[in-house]
Amino acid sequence: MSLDILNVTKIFGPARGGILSRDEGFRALDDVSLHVPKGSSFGLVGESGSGKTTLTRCILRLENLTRGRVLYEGTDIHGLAQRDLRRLRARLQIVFQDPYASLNPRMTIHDIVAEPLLIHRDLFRLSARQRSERVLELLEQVGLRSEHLFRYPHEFSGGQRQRIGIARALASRPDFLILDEPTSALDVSVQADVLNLLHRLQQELGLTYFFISHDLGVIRYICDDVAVIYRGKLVEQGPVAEIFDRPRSDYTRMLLAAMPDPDPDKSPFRQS
Amino acid sequence: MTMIQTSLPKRDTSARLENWSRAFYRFRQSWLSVIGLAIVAVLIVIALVAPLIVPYPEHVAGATDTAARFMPPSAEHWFGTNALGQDMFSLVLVGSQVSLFSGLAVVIIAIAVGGLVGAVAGYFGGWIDETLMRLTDLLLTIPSLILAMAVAAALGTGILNMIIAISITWWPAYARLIRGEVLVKKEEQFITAARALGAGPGRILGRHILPNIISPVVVKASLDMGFAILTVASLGFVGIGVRAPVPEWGTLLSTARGYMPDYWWTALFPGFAIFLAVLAFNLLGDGLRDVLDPKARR
Amino acid sequence: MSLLEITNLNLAMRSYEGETQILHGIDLKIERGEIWGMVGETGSGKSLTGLSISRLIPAATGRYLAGAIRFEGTDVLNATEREMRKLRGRKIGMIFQDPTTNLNPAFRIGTQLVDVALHAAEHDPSVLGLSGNASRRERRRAARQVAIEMLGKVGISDPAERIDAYPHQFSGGMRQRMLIAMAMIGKPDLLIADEPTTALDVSVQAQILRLIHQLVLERDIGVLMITHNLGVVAQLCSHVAVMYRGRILETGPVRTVLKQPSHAYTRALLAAIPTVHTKRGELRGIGDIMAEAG
Repeated sequence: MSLDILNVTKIFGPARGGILSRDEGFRALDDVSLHVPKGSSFGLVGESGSGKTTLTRCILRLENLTRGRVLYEGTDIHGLAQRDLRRLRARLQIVFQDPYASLNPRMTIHDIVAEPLLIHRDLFRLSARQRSERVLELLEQVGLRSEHLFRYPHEFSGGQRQRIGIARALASRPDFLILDEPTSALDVSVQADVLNLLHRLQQELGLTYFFISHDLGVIRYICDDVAVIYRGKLVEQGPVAEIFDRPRSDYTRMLLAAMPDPDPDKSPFRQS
Repeated sequence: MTMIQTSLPKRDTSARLENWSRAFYRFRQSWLSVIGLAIVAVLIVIALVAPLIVPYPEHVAGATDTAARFMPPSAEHWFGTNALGQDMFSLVLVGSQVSLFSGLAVVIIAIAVGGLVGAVAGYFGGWIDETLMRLTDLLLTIPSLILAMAVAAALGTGILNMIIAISITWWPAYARLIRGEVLVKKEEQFITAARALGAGPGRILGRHILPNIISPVVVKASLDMGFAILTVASLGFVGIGVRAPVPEWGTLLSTARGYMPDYWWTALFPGFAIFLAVLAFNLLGDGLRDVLDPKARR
Repeated sequence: MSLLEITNLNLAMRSYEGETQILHGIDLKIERGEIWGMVGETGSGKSLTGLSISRLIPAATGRYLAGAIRFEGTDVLNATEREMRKLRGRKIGMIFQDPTTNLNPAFRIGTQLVDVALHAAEHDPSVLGLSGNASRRERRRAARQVAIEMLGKVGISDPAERIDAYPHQFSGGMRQRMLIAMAMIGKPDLLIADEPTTALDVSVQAQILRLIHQLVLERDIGVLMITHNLGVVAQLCSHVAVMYRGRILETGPVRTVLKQPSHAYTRALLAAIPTVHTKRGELRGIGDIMAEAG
């Protein structure tokens, strides 16, 4: 399902001052436009403070826009009534960066993954037993076992928690997934497993991915298209191969050069 | 949708059990808190069974025995007898009922009212927050003893009025604590996650925020239990609160005041009971803080 | 005599589950001018190894079953607490992952740096460039001068003005520079950096790596760089030790280890990093490889 971001600007409120106050507030997003085609993986690259997290919050309408529109299959997300918004949220899900902070520590895995089914029970109409079955199916889908069902998040490793987060995001059968740095808190080895899982799920379920990362290697591995964002503005966007092989902007070139290459011969310190 | 053939695993409680035993392990690390817990447990048991086990239940009901006035502690009267010849051991034991019950009632009412106000203020913010918090600030300025006296003057003395009076001045502290905790938890990522799933305010507060702020509330409640018992005793001491013949530590102490120092046992034992109860709840509270909030340690 | 020599270090930690051995026979030797990378996954014991060098593992929970740590000849595990304080912050500098939590937000940057400098000077007056009988005021003034120099050295512009700012007035990268300045002010011989760039953007990371490299060239110190990022190791380090579940699997010059890894785990780690040439779905996690290796 395609997502269109049209001229989105987000300014965080100017500090309340007099009418003559010059303070314009903080421009977190400045005229950002993107098109995410259905079934593809779209990467968004940026450093901290570039506005990438604000953009996801704007897409999910956890934040209001100052200007612009966010269209999901042609419907303006920010123009929806609360009830329709709730329905839409079942189809547009997010996986967060920090697998430790994004799961409620007081809930069992079963309750965490079942929560979307409870929130949207008007859509799914499942009995308690059917819900539990669906939770089991989801856990299996992300590579966890049934004995994990009634354990608490703190008993799991970072990688397992991220799988739980993915299972929760998939529970309401979404067709669009925002992945907000889903692997940057994980070890490289675990990152590889999670990336492969995401790739497999996309093929099985026909998902559209909006993948946010600061790791260009990961973006290159998983994404078809990529956009580079810097201080709230899009620097450039296009197919992954094109942007990475022939970056047009200085900023992208700098980012590529700063990525530490695991080949010792490419170290800038060992030129001698 | 593929059907899962395997049967569902039972909702087992082993994970929860393990959490508890883990918590108790940390609690055991400090022997002072274990002592506190033990005394509190003994106090609760005594309060429950006191009327059944005391040697002179008729004294508790108000009977006097003028022939046995001011007997010093002996095998017959462990804590001695008072001006009316009543057995102090029986009175002190049964007195624990009023102290523990009113202390518990005060804390529960304060948590219920303060929790509601604090949670609503913290979660919704804006003018709701402003209004509710100014109200709590206002109440925080009134000293609880003075208000309790005013309430006693207006509604008459009695256990219930005393509990209401103390609760009125106690809930604002909980409201502030819970508001603060809600404000912090509201920013947690799993709250954002719940919002992104489409959860409404009721679910977010009840399912996600409140279960995660129980720890500081339990710690404060345990520490407050000691102070509540002390406040109840103070009110008894100044003569408002429980009416005779119901035995209550503060009232017992107050009556004994006139017979010091000759008949020291009439004051010592109720005083010691208050001391022990307050100390025990404080030790328990400190221990719980170590278990529930390891960061606040030392 | 080596700068740092760890031999057969075995550490056990006590917890609710009982005592478990965390480090198994760690051997490591660091010379001046060497930058050692210590790579491994979460829980592999790399951070605990770093903390052991300064003996910062709480005695209540940690117990050394065997082994020795020698720093410039000092027997670290058997030294008195007084001797250890002389080493910490003076001979051994440490930098941690999160620059925000390791600076006290209530004090100006300068105050914190001056404190460290004065502390270091108690053990070695030459840090301030003064003789032993300098007055208090002279020492303070000299310490401030040293702090300003150090800030300039780690790449903070206008150090004389910004020394009086508070930590929150700086960005994450700047704060990490300040922590490096703080670690370097006592002129340490060994710098232990535990994931110093993990919380930073790649562009800032590149600057911090350059800074550490420069310090090694100028002062001929030894560095132990604890990280999970093989890219960082490949760029900066001269040597590398690969840790897995409390054991060092392989050590050696960085080019040898990363180009011709002798252990299956090292190969697996390298294969898990997505590069320009990795086809989608071809990345392999370590779980499968270690299972095959047995």
